[in-house]
Amino acid sequence: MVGKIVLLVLILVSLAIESTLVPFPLVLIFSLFYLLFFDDVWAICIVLLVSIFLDIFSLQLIGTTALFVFGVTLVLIAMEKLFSLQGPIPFALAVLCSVFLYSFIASYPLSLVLTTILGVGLIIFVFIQRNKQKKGGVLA
Amino acid sequence: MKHKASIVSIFLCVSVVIFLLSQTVIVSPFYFIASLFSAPRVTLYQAVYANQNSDEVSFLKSENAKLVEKLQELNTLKKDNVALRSQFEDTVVPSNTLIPARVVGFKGSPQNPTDFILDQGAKSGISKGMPVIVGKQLVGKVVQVNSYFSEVMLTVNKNFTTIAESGEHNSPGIISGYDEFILFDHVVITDTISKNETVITRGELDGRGVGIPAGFIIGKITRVNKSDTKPLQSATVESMLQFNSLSTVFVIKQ
Repeated sequence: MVGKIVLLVLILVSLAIESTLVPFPLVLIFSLFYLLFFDDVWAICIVLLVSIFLDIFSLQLIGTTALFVFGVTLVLIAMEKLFSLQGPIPFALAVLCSVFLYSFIASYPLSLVLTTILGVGLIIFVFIQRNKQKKGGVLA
Repeated sequence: MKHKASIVSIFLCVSVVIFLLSQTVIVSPFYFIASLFSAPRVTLYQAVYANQNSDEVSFLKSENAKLVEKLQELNTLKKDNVALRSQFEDTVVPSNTLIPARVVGFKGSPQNPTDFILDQGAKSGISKGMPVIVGKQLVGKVVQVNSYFSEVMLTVNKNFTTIAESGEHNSPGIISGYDEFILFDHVVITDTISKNETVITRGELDGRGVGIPAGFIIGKITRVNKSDTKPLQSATVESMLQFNSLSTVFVIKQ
């Protein structure tokens, strides 16, 4: 429950940061994390609304971000189902690829510092998830 | 897993519908709600970026910009005087309306923004192609508008081009953005351009009368690139404005 709330708060905060201060796909990253780990309909509605407002704030066609977020999530679910690609590594790679692709679509500049921070964050995430798996936990 | 896939599929379909309806009036309530967040966004932007104006370098830069404006005014007066005397030219001062707008976001890097997102849109009378200024300095032109917000392509943007001339010698050329600087290109080698000379707009209006008017300062020449073997010369121009610390700009309603 705490994890859900923290991620939702992060999504809302990243809407403010991404649309006003730092052009980096933070909403996409946190939304992907949320959608991969949880499936509450009301929270997915919030992700959809946040995506719509992000598109309005950055003068993109409304629905672009939502299409991208849900599209990537569906591709990840399909990959997991069809090719049994489970675990944190495919997810981390998918996040990284989608960040590059979204940055291109939204005309965001590629920030070396932020991409490095994201890369380090994803490596830490992979290690944590692997340790969890070794201890008997399973990636949701 | 199956449950999650179906939920995401439903939301994907909803997103497709929203995307297809994005140009219709059905989505206008979203625009209205988004406009309510303009004030906190302006506050956030100003708190982070506009404070950079307070240091000494920014102060000196703004002072320098004012002096350049004065110099340009003198040049214009000089030209007007000559024109009136010779009766060959006619100076027309357009009675444009200024729409003040606040910066609520940007594209590009925080140090070198290439586009601004403004808190005013079509509801305030802004339309595509309108010029954006601060004082007598050209900031850019409006490239995208929705009901409550608009996007301004700055003069440093790679896609920005306009016709310009040097302030003192009236040498015509084309201005193009290069992200970190502006290039004054396609100047005939026989024309004179010199370092520290201002570059001003030459006027570029479309059929509706919308576009960049003449006489606005784009920047100051910092380097002249001239070669005797080439028929054209160019110059590197630096804007007098510190784009990353601008918080309020003015759109010229045409």
